[in-house]
Amino acid sequence: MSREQKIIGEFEQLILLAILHVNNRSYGIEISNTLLSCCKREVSLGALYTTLSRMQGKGLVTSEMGEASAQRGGKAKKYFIVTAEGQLAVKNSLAALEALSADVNYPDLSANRGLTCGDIL
Amino acid sequence: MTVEPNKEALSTSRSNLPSSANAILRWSLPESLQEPLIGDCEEGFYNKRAQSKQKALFWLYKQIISILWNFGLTTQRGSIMFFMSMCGVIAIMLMALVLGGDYGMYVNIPSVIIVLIPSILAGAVYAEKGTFLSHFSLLINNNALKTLQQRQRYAKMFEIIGQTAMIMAWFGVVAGLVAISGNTTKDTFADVILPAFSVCILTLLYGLMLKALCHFAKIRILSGEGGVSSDNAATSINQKVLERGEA
Repeated sequence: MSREQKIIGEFEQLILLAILHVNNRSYGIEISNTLLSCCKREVSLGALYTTLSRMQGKGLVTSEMGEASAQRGGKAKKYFIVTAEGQLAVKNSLAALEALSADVNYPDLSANRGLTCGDIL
Repeated sequence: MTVEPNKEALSTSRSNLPSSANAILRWSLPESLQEPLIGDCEEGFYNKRAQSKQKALFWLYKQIISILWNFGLTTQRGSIMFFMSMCGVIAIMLMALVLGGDYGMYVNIPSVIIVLIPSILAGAVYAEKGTFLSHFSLLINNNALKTLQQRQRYAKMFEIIGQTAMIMAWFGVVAGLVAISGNTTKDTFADVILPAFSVCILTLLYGLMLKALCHFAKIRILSGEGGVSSDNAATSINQKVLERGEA
């Protein structure tokens, strides 16, 4: 792993993937809805924008102002776009997860067939 | 491709949000994020309201709490600190009064009138027409004043109120002492002098209280010097979250 390579956290990874999921151009509430529908994860707008600001500072995403609509009370959207650096970071992060999880056999789960994760927790 | 915000749509479209929610969001968000983030709240609220109004309100206030936590603590740090320091000062004043004995002895309406009314009038005379109350609203809004000159001009009103309070307080003390001296006889001296003196210096107490409060208000308004404008606040949020992320 090179020194310049950005390390991203789980939440950052989810947000980057959510933006990429919608043709790499998405805005706040849309990202939040994507995360809810795909990951069943409810994300508050405050936490989302704080993380997006941080990622913008790291150069992982860029933003541009979009169109306004009456549904939004006449306020413009702010679209976020994952940069090449962000795409590389998320790709490396996913590759690392894949490499780590490849040979994992979950011994507790296979020993207790019929048990769900919820039962164990 | 950057699309310029549609100014016409902005001016003609009505906000879907309750006015209280709109005010809190504008107060807590840095200027650069107001339009997109309030727009997102509007869109989310609009969509959820079609299902259930109660659920939409619950969702909206959850978003507001999150925005206050993530942004308000930075953009309105001065206001929050001012509010806390005022609470502290008032609590200490009340504690001193209550521990001093029966707090009824600290209450004297004529003394309040002598100090308060001339001070407020002096402040109103200094303030430009129609701006007297806006001086007070500045205490809870960090973003309104942009330049050092503006801050100094608005802070000056609190300085004048505080100074007038002290002048009137000393006037009350001197007037009280004159009244005591003129009305006390040799026979009543021992019984009257101390209770009368206690009432006489109450104006000084009220003057000091008002001066202390005005002092904090002045500090609050001047505290933005060096420009804690909303965009600087946004930059400082970015720096903070970067540091947090790197840690």
